[in-house]
Amino acid sequence: MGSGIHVGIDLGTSNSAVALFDGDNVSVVTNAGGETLTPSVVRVDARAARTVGRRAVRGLDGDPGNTRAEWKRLMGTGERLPFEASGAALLPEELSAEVLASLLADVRDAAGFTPRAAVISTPALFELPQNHATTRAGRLAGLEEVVLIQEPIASAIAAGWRAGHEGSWLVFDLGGGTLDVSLLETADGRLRVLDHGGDNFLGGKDMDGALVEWAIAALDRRGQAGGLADRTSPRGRRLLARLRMACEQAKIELSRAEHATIALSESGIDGGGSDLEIEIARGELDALVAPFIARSLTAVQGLLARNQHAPGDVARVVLVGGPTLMPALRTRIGELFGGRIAAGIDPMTIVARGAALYAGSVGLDATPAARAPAPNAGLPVRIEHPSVTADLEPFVVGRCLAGAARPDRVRIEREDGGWTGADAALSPEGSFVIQVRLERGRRNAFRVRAFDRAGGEVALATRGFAIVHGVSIGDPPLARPIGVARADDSTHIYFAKGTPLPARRTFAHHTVRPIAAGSGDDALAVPIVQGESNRAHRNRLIGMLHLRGLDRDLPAGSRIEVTLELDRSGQLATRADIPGTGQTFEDVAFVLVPTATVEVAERELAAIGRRAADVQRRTFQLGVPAAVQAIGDVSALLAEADRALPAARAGDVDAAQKLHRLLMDVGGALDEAEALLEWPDLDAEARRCKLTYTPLVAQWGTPAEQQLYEQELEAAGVARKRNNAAELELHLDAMRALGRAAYCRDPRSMADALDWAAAHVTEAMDVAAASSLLDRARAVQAQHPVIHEAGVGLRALRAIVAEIWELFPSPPELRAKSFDSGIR
Amino acid sequence: MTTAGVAIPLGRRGSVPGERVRPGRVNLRAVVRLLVWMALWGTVLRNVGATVGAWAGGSLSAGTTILIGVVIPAWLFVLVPSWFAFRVAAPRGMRRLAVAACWMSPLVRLRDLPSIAAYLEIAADRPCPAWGELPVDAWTALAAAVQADRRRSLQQATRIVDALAHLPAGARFPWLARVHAVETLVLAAVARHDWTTAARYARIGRGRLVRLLALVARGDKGAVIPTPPLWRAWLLAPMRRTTFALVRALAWRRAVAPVARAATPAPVTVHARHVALLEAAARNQEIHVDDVLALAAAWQDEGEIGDGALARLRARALELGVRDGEARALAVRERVLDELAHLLARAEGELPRTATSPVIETMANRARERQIARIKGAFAALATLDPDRHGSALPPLEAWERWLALRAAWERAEHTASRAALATLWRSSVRDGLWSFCCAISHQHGARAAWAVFVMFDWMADRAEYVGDMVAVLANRENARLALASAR
Amino acid sequence: MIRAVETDDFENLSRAHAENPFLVLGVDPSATAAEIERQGQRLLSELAAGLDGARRYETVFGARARTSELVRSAIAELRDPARRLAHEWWARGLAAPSP
Repeated sequence: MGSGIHVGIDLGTSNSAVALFDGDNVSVVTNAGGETLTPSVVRVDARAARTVGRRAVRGLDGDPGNTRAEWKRLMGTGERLPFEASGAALLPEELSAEVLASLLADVRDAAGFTPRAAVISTPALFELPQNHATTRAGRLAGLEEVVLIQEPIASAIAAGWRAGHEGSWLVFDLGGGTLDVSLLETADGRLRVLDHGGDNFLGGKDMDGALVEWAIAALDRRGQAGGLADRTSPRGRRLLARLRMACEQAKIELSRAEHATIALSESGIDGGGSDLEIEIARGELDALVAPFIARSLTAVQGLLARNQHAPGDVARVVLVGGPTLMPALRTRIGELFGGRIAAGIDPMTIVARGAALYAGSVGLDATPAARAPAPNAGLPVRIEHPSVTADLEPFVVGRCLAGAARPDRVRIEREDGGWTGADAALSPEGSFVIQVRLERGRRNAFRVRAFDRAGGEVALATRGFAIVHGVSIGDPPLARPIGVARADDSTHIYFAKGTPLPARRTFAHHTVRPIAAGSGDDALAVPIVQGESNRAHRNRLIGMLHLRGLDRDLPAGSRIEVTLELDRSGQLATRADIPGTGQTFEDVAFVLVPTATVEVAERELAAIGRRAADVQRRTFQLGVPAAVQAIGDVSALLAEADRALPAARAGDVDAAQKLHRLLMDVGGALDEAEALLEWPDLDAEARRCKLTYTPLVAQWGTPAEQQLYEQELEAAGVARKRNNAAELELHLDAMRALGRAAYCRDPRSMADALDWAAAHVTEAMDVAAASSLLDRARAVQAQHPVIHEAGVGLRALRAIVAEIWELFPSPPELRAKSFDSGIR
Repeated sequence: MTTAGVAIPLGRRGSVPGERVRPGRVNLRAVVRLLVWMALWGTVLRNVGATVGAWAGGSLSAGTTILIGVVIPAWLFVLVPSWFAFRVAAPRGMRRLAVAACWMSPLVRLRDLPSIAAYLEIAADRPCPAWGELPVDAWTALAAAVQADRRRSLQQATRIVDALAHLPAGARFPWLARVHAVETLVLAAVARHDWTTAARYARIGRGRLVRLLALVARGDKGAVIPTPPLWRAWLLAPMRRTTFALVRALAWRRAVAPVARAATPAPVTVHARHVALLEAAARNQEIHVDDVLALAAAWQDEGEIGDGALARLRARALELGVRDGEARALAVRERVLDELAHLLARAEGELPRTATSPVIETMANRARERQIARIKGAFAALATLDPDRHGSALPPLEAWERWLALRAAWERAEHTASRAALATLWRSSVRDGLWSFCCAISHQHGARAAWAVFVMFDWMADRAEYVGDMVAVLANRENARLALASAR
Repeated sequence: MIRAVETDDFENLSRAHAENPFLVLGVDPSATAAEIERQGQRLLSELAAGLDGARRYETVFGARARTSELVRSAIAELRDPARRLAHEWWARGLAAPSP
């Protein structure tokens, strides 16, 4: 541990980088072109030869049909990206694997060996399917072992390693595609992540997009936008790609200069054309990107507010990602945080450095086994110790493996001679625990020596180890809670937010349905979800454990034990044990991000729009401030969803995903508001019931009913005073039932009911039956034109109306929309 | 969703029709059985009598002759087949032989044979293919209980046992079931050293073995059992080899260290008591309302959740650097109260009418709320599975088990919630819904579910009496009577 | 408030108490952060080395199994001061009496 070379890789949306850490220094590896950054672009030509990096970037312009960039957002979906010439269709992780392979080749050129293990960075908001895809990409690229680390932690490690700062830090990572904001704390020599926030759909790419739109508008005004009128034609696409690159370059230049030129050359594209140039000043760019900067700062402030931090509490801000070089952004952030921005670290490679440092702290040695020093001849002994720790006197545990001559005593010495431990005797099982002393701030090498009873030295197979003293890094925490959906649509959380990985938990549940022995697909399912909401269906389904093919029947209410195990790369293994039968069901739960069909999203958007309107109306009517706050963002989110809809319909997968996510967010906000409105709503309902039904019962109710009604009314009043919602509902139900009974005795009510049914007959479940019933009712009415209270006609009418009511759809019950969960 | 007013559900015409059993077939089988008995036992008696007569050579008195010639054979005739079936054939896995032996036994009714066969399959831990078609009666109910116990769904098993303990007069609970099926249950619990559950199971059992095991269970929980009666019970009971170790351990333990046994450390701090009670509930032991109230009082008296404690928590929060210390301190107290309410909702016994402290009042309210919610949940599970509405038949056993859940929730609530609240719940949904559920089950399955339907209607009548709905009482007693008639 | 049906979760509730981080790590509720880290690291090393003594920990209800995931999770729980507050409070009452 602690020796060897460690490799860290930043797999970015636009650019990737790789760094090495040898225990003392971190260095970024340059590629064949001499650059530290390799563009995340892949090109596949007609002969299926693959090009990665700067050479492939040219293809974005010249050969857009065969060149792909910025697929990071699609990781974890099953979406295959087509390459026209070769006919290949590659998954996002296969593209990432190409980039990784290129980076690993660069390491081989620089250090002389191909790494067998590496730490790869992923955005903090990546969910399990996306993390899993990243791991697979690493394996495809030839790595034996892949460990994932979240980008903000890597950045903070890189920034924290140099300085010795304490207090809260904020990592602001604005990359090509995503914004990751993280709040970290360095205290007592430990680095701890407090919380994550950000936006999966905000990045440099969006700013480029805005600039592109502006440029096209400018060209349009000048009448030069001819080639770009049809963006889907081959010519239009190529022009667009070129324009995008030009805009990006202009944007980068504007970080240094006050003016820049967007140069679009139409030459070389069918249809020919001239060179177009558009001047842009920094002020204009600032105005264009101002909304994005504002959005990013909102994310920052939201994160701070959630954790009861004020901007003044943040000691240092670490900026990561190319777009953070924009002066406008830096100025705004500087304003917010009083200028406390960590300087001196290249924001483009900081993540790769941090990843390499993390690889060192977990002892992930990239050197192939052949390079490991040949084990010494001697007694086999196993030594366990932390590789990196902030503790100056950690414990070291060792155990002489079973075998012949066990030594009598063991001694540990520091190789620089600064400390020697006392001799420790071995326990009966051959183990020893020794507390060592470290020298501050450096790598400490130790020697282990063993002695037999006579005092002679015994040779050991493992003679030494090393411990680095520094900031000990906590295990990467989970970004979003993971749990299991229950049949009543609640979520049982297994791993709370911030759980360190690896983690494993077991809980007991009970089935809600019986399962017959040997049943196949329709057996019980245990859905596994990830997300913050208490309602299961609002969270994202990431896996499904099926209980099928049982040996024998399992009655409802049977106890099952469900175990979830999550490893460092976010791969989730699930297991269900049924005690008493000895049967176990296992699954590596991993479900691709459900590709949302646009039709479904459209319908849901409409439904949610109606629901939102309803909730808003109720909120303002009842005047509950907390609820008003909860739905504050809903209108804005719905507007954004509406904007994303046309693009989604046109086949833009990104927009479809965004739409899906927005709908989930709106649903969650509405859920929250509705929960807050429950009591005031119930209160209002109680008053309404009282007003409506009391006169009815008084006029038409039997004496028994009236007495019962009085009792219920009184009980309802008591429940209201006690704020007991459940009892109040019960009493209201009874009042409603009594009121309706009284209402039915009113002869006019039957006529009203029939009129209503006639008007809505098309909504009935069986229209033919409803129509015939209505005809019968009309016949009865014709027969008895004057309906008396106790008359035959009224009774008959009542019976018919009862049957008619049966034909209309009942209000939706709590359908098991909890992904059809079979457990509680 | 009817607006037909508060319709009083009277027995619909043909509500409990029962299967119109073809008289021919059943009687034929019974007749055949009778003939076989007569033939077989007649032969046996004759031979026994002849042998005895030959052996005694007329030297016996009339009384002895009658004893040997009539009484003993009669006793053999009555008891041997079932003894053979359950003590000899079944433990050795010869289930078909056991069922045949039951056929020969006058203690077993013909219609119970399929249920006994199913019970034997389950008891031997074999899959039972026709579970869905089985009728609900004491045998199958106990088989389900054995299965649940084996799967560690103790709640399920105790619910079934509880229902069997409170069967209405007229519902058949065969003696053989009480002896043998309950034995299996009790033995399963004893094998796990789960004495409390074993004692609960033993309450509905009869027979010497069950009595012995009940004694052992009580003794292991700490009650003082004098040794002579213990050994006497062991001697009289069957399966002596199996039970010897248990009985000896009990007797010896008490002989050696009668006092030391009670020295398992009782939880000292109120936290430990709290978690101990949670563990007891998790192990499905009975917890009493008094225990929970005492615990709540202890929390209060020791000042662990009072204002002083909160202030200390807030101070500590400041020390640790917690940002929302106030909220966190309150959350600690909330958790305690919530878990207490959970326990109270689960405990047996009556809640005191007037709360002695605000803590107890909050707890009691929450417990009541929780119980009402549980009733609603159990009821919803019934209603959504109403076979009439959805067309697919629920197997009778499963329907019965769902009703058991409702029953358990309701009866527990009777101790804590106000009568008015329960009455409202009853009137607004449970009465009509449960009634139509029972009718639907009886429509669907006829005689197979008749026993269960009888029990359900009778239970409904009792509940109606509790809430004071006299019309429903009459209606349900009538329905129960009809169901009983068709069960016969 | 009207809530969904509660379930009989006693098993999970009591398990949560028995897995109190202070009990898992075997440290006093008044231990400092450094002591907790040190003890945690020590236990992780002992578990990795396969020492028997590390495999169980004591509570008032008997011994329970200790795994490295449990230890890691315990260390992380106690790093968050808000969660440590609650765990400390319970641990004071639940620590096994010294023999």
